[in-house]
Amino acid sequence: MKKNPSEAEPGEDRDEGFSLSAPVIMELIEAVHEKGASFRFKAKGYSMTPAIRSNDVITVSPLNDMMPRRGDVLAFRHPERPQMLVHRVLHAMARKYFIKGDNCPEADGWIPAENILGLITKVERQGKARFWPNRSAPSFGSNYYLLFYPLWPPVRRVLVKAWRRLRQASKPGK
Amino acid sequence: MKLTAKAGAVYAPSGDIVAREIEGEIIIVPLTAGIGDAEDDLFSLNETGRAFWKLLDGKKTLAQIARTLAEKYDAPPARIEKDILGLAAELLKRRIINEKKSF
Repeated sequence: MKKNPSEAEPGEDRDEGFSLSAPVIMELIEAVHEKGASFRFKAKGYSMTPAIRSNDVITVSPLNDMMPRRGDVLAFRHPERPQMLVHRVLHAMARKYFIKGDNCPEADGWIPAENILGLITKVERQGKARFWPNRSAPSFGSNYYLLFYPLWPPVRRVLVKAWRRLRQASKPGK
Repeated sequence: MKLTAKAGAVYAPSGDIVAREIEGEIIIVPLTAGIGDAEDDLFSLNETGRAFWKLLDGKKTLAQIARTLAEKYDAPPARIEKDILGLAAELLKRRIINEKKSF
């Protein structure tokens, strides 16, 4: 069962350990959710960096009666490819969600509710739980965090450019 | 404490697991504290393990399962029973199967 990991993207690193293909993970998520439990697995890819990094361990919980809303990070089946993605809701409308990876230049588009596998409720990095806004315990801080994260990739690009220019300018002989 | 499986005992899959046959393998995810953990706790059974799992119905003893598998694979029953006892002990340790008590 050593297969391409979930959320596979071309050119990404592959883990040497026991990893599952996206279709297997999707089937297991659905089976575990049927029992009302959450599913914990290792994420692969860079589309949600820095909120979720490759090899972070994420927990996907069943939505039950919860309606996903802006800022939530969802695991979902891609409507056209046999692929599972973990990306953020930018807009929510009646039973469809406009979703995009924080670190992706393009959005995934409108994803129908039936493709949603669950809500990401926990992220662990190197064995430690990361701060992750949880619907069961909303706070001003978590709302701020949710609004800030989709803005991070363009902000980071501007900061990196500024930093490079600063370094160029400060080099001796220039 | 080391858990040992008994040839004369009857075992059944625990209610706190999810087992799926996917791509020719049985994948077992134990549910601990409401979480199915594919990162630290995933268990996979190969072809022989799969045959054993399918016979684990909470009615047959391990010895009966061993005899059935010995016939199926044309192998010495004693060797099959030894393998099955080892596998059952591992599954018991991980709480994937439970012993069915007869009343």
